[in-house]
Amino acid sequence: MKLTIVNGSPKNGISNTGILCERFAAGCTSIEGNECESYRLNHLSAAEAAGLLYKNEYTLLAFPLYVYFIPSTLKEFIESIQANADCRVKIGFLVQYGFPEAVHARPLEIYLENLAAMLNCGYLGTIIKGGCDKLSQTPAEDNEKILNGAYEIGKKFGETGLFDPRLLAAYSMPETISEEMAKHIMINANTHYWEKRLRENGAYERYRDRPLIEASPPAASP
Amino acid sequence: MNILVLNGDPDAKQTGFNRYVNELCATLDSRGHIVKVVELRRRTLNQCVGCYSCWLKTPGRCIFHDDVEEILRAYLMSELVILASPVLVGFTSALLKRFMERTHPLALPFLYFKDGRMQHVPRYDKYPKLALLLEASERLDARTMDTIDAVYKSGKTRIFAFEATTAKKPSEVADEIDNSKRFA
Repeated sequence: MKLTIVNGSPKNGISNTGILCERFAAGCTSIEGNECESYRLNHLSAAEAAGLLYKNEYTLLAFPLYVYFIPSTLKEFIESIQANADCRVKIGFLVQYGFPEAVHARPLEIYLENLAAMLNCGYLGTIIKGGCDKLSQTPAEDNEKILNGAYEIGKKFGETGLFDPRLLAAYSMPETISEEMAKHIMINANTHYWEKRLRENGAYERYRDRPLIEASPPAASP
Repeated sequence: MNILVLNGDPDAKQTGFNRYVNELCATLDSRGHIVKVVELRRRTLNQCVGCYSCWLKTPGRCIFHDDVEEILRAYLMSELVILASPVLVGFTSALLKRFMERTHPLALPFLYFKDGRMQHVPRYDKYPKLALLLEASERLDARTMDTIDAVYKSGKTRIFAFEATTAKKPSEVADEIDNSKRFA
């Protein structure tokens, strides 16, 4: 099989989405004969990006969850596409984000299934993974479970040409969390991650700044 | 009431929707509301690049010094923000979405638990209520409306006042704003 992976993250440099795409691609191409081409949407011109969705028999569109939806750059790209009337492409999606629960991406998942139909593509499914904020900031061995999960989904896809719904369901867990679990996660995330990073930047003392309700700076003299 | 209308129609030629938004604003104005309209397509809005500077380096401020800071100040001063958009490929426009992503500095990086799910702690004490105004067309069926609604309401720190489509007359939407007890 031939697979096109489009990383729709607007980030520059290493992206959490890119890390998961690499693992998915490694799983897929571990099956003999499979080929995978990977692209970063923000490295392409509109003309270069235009044909990508319909280039190979399978496409994976991957991106971070931005305000509970696809990033605006990716939406802009989708708005620019002329749906191919005679299309045999099957499309799947991968969305990752920082919150631990899958519930945040469920409304988007419904949209993505509709989107596949609007693009005249077959729908493979949507890989949903929360808790990915630290992927690019921490060593791979700290994220073994997340990385191996993407590899296994990719491998199964490489074997069958399908997203295995059982693997997707297990990978996206937890769907929601209890208040007790939330307290535990908040201590870890707030103190050991966000506060630590603010302190590293010398910005912790200012973290609650509210610059947008302060008086506007005076207009510059003409 | 201070009302900010963010018109996310990317197409200046699509006069029907823009005319509707202008008529709604004129109606609200005539009823004594203080209305500010921002046509997003006429403004410079860089795309959020997910750098987290607004959380971790310059708290509350974006790295991009474009028109968004001015719009966000107006946003925070408003009691109601109307998010107006045509439906393009099953959702609100990429242009409106671009603005929504730039509201990142309005939150803190820290997490809290609200309505059974993790959320980011608000940076400010008070936020406007939001309303969705979508262009009625054959592209906006019930399923699409439900999906848009569900995505916009995923953030539990946002309070939605109402959703409307241009199938209603501007005066009816204005009535809804005037009569809603949710603004009391």
